Formats: sequence, structure tokens, C-alpha cells
Amino acid sequence: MNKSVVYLFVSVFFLFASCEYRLGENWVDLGKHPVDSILMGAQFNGFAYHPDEKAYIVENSGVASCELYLLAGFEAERMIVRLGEMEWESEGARCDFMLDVDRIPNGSYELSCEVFARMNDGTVAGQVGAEQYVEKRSWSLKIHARTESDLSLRHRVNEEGRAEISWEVDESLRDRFSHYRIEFTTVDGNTHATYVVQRADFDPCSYVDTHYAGEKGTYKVYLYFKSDADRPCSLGSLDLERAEPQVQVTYGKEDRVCLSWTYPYRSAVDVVYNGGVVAEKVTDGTVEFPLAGQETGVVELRFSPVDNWGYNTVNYTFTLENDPKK
Amino acid sequence: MKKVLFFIALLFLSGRFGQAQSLTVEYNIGHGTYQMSDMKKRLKNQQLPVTNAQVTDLFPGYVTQDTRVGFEWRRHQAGVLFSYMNTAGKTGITDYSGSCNYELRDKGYKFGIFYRFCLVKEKISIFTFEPYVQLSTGVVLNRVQEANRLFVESDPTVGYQLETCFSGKNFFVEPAFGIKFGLCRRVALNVSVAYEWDVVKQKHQRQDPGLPSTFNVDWSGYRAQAGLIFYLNLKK
Repeated sequence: MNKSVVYLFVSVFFLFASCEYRLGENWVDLGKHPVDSILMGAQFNGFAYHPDEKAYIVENSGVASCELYLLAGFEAERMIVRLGEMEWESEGARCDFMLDVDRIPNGSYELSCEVFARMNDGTVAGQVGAEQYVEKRSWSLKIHARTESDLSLRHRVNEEGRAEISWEVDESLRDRFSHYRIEFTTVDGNTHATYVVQRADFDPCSYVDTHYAGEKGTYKVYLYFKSDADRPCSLGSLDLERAEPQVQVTYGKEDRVCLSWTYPYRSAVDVVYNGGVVAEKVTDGTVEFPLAGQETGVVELRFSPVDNWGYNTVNYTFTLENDPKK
Repeated sequence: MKKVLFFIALLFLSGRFGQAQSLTVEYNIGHGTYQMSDMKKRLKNQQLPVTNAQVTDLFPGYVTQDTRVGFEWRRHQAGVLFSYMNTAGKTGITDYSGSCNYELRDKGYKFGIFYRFCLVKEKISIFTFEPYVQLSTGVVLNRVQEANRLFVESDPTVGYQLETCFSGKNFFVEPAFGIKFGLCRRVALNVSVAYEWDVVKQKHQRQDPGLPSTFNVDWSGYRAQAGLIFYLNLKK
């Protein structure tokens, strides 16, 4: 056969092989932005962060939650909260979980949160659920569960007019003793305020509260042990009602009035009459001021602890008439 | 039916072989359009795990290649042909995170016979000018490759690549009109236009015959080709 014919067939063969239709590409430029961190912050509810311990502290069993705040444009697909060997998983940026301190021994743990997020901007990986924005944060968490008791604390007003609470403690605990923790909680409307005092001396078994000015509240005393694994135990609690002053009113000459009062606790008193302060930091229980022209006026006595003025106040209000003899 | 046609063609060719003036070998390259209605439907109805997929290729017309070997006597020419056609369809999306695509690639191998009748033969200087009509018929062996791919760059284990092959046959009839320009005694330039009509289209089957198939491949469409014809004289 003619050589040219052979060449023709060889050429045809190569043409056949090379002439395949080339497919196009639907390339969508979504503009990937490099992201170092997608997690802007995390908020835990149910327990609080104690800056002095640089850790979250859990004292009681209860429902807790973790809410994550992500960089704009990202959407949390799921998150996993881990505490020690426990693990809770949820969809979205919030995870509720139950902390049962009866099942978790006291001690330090790593609390971590791992979030799986996507940009939700229509990428292929995002649509098939394989977008890989994963970030993990961890914090220190301490379980400080305490054993409560039905014991009552004793209370008295000492010679200096201070509130003094006392308790009983088993002598056998002395060697394991770390400190006492004295908590006083007041309720003002819906607001709970607690101040905490720690005392490292085993003796005496009493505490003089120089901050107390007669407000309604509850004292609780706990004994903490040297070993974190030992649960602190309650030494008792005490509910105090609000102290009421006994006020006497004496009308003087030239429309002046003298107020005198007795109060269980040593206090500094601000006296307010018809909205104006007529005396400040009165400690001797007597004040004299001129009456205003109205028939009646409102007097408010604001009791504060002496030497801790302004720390807390107990307000006692009553209506004062002008001289009833007139 | 196929055997009967083949037998008739063989008788016709062998009967004329003694009268043949020359053996012709030709190669044409051209462009064809394709119907592919079932394939288009299949591509558009394909469900992908992404919502923003778009069709990028919908079985467009593409290059055709054609070789013919025959005999020529007086104003007649007849012989066998082999042609190759291919096209493809694709829907999908690609972005920085990965790609999700569905592809259908169709290849058609045509085997058949042709008969060409020269309407007139004009001589212009040293060149010849021969308009002709032609009828080709035969079988198209189809091969369809279906590919379903998902690729995620950050996690390749999520992805998949499913490839399936289908095959089937069509029977075609192709009337054509063309012109041969004789450049010298041994070589002629050939130009033709034609319409391929796939008369019988077989439903395609996977290579795994247990699975049913619901589409056929329709190569029907216009053809425009140009090429060279080589003449090998059989009589001195």
C-alpha cells in the first residue's frame, strides 16, 4: 500500500485520540479569606469565673450553658463541650448541660469547647456539611462542691455593738483544716448580694462582722480542707431579720425637733428630712434640726456600719408631724 | 436484518469490483450538531448535593472525523465508512473548597456503507469539478461515560467518584450533497453537507445488565465536512 495512505491512517488515529470534547468549568470565586480564629468569645452561664483563682468555680449542681460568639459571617454547625471525660454535644452555638457535683469529685478540670462552623456562603464543602472551620478553646474549671447541713449559727451583738456569729467545729478536723469561708447574702428586691470573708485561723470559732449594719440576710459558714478532693462542709447558717431602731421625737422651741434613737448595732447614721440631708455620720444617736413649714415631713435614717460608712445601709423611714401641741 | 443488508452490500460491491476504475481512500474532518434530547433531560434532572450547580456543557456540536474506503467506476462510488463523533454534557460547581460535578461523555463510532453518485463532471483547466449526492447508512456504536464526582479539598474522605459506562447501538441514514474538486489525477478535495438521521435508537444499558436504563443517544443532526480523497488506479 502506498506510504501516504499509511501516514494518513496513523494521522487519523492520533486525531481521533486528541479530539475529545473539552468540558467547561463552573468556577465560582467566593473569595476565601484566611481566618486565624473564628471564635470571638464564649459565655458560660450557671457558674462564674473567679479572676483570683483564674478558673471557673462550680459549687452546686445545676444546669449550665455555654454560648459561643463567632466571627461575622460564620455559622456554628455544632459544638462539643468537654469537662474531664464528660462530653456534651449540641447543634448551633449554644450547648446546655447538667453539672452534677455529686458525681464529679472536687478538683481542677479542663473545660473545653470545640466548635465546628461554616461560612454558609454556599461553598461546595459547606453545602455537603464538610466545611472545616474547627476551633477549640479551653479553660480551667474547679469543682468546689460543699456539703450542706441543718446546723444553726449562734448570733449576738458584742460589747462594741458589732454582729458576732459563732459556730461549733469538731476538733478532729483541725489537722485537715485550710480555712473558714464566711458568706453573708442580702436580698434587695430581686438582687442577691453576697460578700465573702475567708479566715485561716481554726480558733476562735466566731466571727465579728464589721460590715453588718442590721440588714436582713443570711450568714453561712463553711470549713475548707487542705485537700481539694475533700468537700468543704457547712458549719451552719443563720437568717437575720432587719433590725428596727427605737426612735423618740422631742419637739423644741422655735420649730426645732430632736430625734434620738437606739439601735442594736453600732452605726453611723445619715438623717434625711424631706429629701435633704440634715445630719451626716451621727454615731451618738441624737440629732436636732428645724422643722419645715409643712404639717408633716418624711424622715429617713440611713444606718451604716461605723468605720465602713457607705459599705451598706439600712434605711428606716417614718412620718414626722409638726408640733402636735399647736 | 443487519446480515441481510451486509450481504446485499457485499454482492453489490463484488459485482462492481470488476468494473472499478480506482480504489478511493478519503479522510474528512468537519463539524456536527447533535440532538441528544434524552441526554439533555438526564443531565438537567440530575440531583446534586449542592444547590448552585449550573450546566456548563449541553452536548454542543463538535468535531467529526470520517474515513471512507471505496471503489469508483464511471459516475458511481461506493464503499465502507468509519466515523467518530463525540460530545459531552456537564453540570456542577467548583470553588476553592472543592467541586461537585456530574458529567456525561458520549462517543459514537459509526460503521457503515455509502453510495455516491456524481451528478456532473466538469473540467476547468487542469482541475475537475464533480458535484454529487450521497447516501450513507450503518450502525453507530455508542459509549456513554457517566461520572459523578464530589471533591472536598479539606477532607477528601467526604468525596466520592462514581463512574458508570453505558453502551448501545443506533441505526442511521445520512443523505448528503457534496462537491469533489480534482486537484490532480490522484488527489481530490472533498466538501459535503449532510444530515444524519438516527432512525433506530436503542435504549442504553449499563455494563451491569441487571440495571435498567432510561435514555438513548441521538446523534441526529447536520454535518459539514471537508477532506481529501486519494485515488489508486486499478486499471492501467
